[in-house]
Amino acid sequence: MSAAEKDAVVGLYAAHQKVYPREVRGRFSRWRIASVIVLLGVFYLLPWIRFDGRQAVLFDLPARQFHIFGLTFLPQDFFFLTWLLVIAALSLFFFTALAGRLWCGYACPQTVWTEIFVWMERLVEGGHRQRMKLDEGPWTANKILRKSAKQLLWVSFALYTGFTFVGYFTPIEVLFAKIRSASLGGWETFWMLFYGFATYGNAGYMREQVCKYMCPYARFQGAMFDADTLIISYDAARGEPRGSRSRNTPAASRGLGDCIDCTLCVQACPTGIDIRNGLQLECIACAACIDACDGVMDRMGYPRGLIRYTTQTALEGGKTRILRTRVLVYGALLLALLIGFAVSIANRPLIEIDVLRDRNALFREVGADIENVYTLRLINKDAQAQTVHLAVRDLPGAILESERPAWSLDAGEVASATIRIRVPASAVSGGHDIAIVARTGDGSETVARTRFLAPVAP
Amino acid sequence: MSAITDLSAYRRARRGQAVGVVLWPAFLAAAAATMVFFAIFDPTKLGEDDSPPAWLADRMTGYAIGFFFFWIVAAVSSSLTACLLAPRVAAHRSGRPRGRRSSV
Repeated sequence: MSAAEKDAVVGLYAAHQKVYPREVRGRFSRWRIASVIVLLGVFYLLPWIRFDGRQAVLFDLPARQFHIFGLTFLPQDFFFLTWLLVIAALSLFFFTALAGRLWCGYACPQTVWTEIFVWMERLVEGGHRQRMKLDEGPWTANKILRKSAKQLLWVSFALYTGFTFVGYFTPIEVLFAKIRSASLGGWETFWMLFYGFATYGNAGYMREQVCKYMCPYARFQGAMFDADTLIISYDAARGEPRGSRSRNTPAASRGLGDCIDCTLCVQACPTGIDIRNGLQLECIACAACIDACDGVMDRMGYPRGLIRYTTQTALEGGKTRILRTRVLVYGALLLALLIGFAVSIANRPLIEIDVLRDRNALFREVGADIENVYTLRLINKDAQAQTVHLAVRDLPGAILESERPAWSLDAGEVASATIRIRVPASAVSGGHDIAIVARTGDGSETVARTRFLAPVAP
Repeated sequence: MSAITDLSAYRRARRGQAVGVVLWPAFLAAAAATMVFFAIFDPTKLGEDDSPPAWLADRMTGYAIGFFFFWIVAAVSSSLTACLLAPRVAAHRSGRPRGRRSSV
């Protein structure tokens, strides 16, 4: 084993020691708590909100329809989902270039759920020193009681999380009724347990290891960074040489910097690093070390910000540029995609047609006419009822016949229509591309293309 | 920071990480593949002549089977990558017998 490999081994192995982050209070922890409450609040409450007589946000997989506040999306609209994912990725780039790992510190589900699980742990087992002592100590009645209470909280919360998750796919009120009557379906039970277990494992046990070993974003976020990106950094020029001293001692008088080497920043770190060693891959920019250090600086009577949000440029005495090429390019692209997305959502056809050719016969000769039969699936994606008229286009002399002159479709309704398209035999030969048009009351049209087949004229 | 005192504990930890590193990217890939695949294909219309095998008749079953199928495929690929990546280097440098390559 080479020396480099030995180092790597030591690093990986040492990192596996359990981290007991010390609880801190401060500006940034308040921001994080606010973010946790808002994000989890949305996650847990959204499925209970109703809109237009149905669950406002429901990804109805069995029916292959997604409902989002009165908008209905079908598998054919997959394009929008892709677009949305591109927007999400670009937003991540944009915010990373601007403000570093904001996502990791405040919004990532891993952070958010871990925060709640740590909070529950703290509630039952106490602060970080008590937790350490409890873990090291023997299995006393007290330890068994506290550990079981924690597990009870964790498991219940994880199960409720799984229930909420499945509630996005099965109407949550139906799901709740099914649980009460113990008539839950097999897959519903399975996914509830699956998601619940994932939450329990990730937020209860894996925690920072997910960020360190499993998260792809943590590895490539560096590519979005530059010298003007907001990072959390220790001001070494101000802090060094570090050393302990009694309260209210002017640091300079003892030849020391402002860092009193209390190691609170290290104890507070949920990933177990020392921010004073510089920017590290493990840092999820949660700012717990800033809060810890600011508290110490206040007590020492030193100015805050020995550890602070800053940029490399600022640390080197330069002036941070916010508007720079990278940010402008990401921003412009993001804006263009967002506008395009909104416009195309607003203008998307609200009637969808699927055309299926009759499988039994390619064509039929009816008197002097050639007839093709199609089955249409008409889908109303609008939140209101629509009346649809059908017509055929791009085939001179063609007539469209169906069992009804017009189709009334309720919101979200899917109807099946059989249509016959008939053309004088003299007018066609071989295959033709035709268009079937569905026109709604307000004059908007949806066009579906298909083939019309006729015998080849001799 | 503690040095290595117990190599088997290190190996256990390393194996645990390897499981995470293999399964998690495979999970992400499978989630994406499932989304794309089932956006295009309806599981109940997968069989010949639009009549799927009985075990696929229910859409939720179809989605779930599809998801796990993709996950397994991606995990196999990830674990092969993991196999091919690290140990060969370690085996070369340490000159340990071939049979023990996979242990670290």
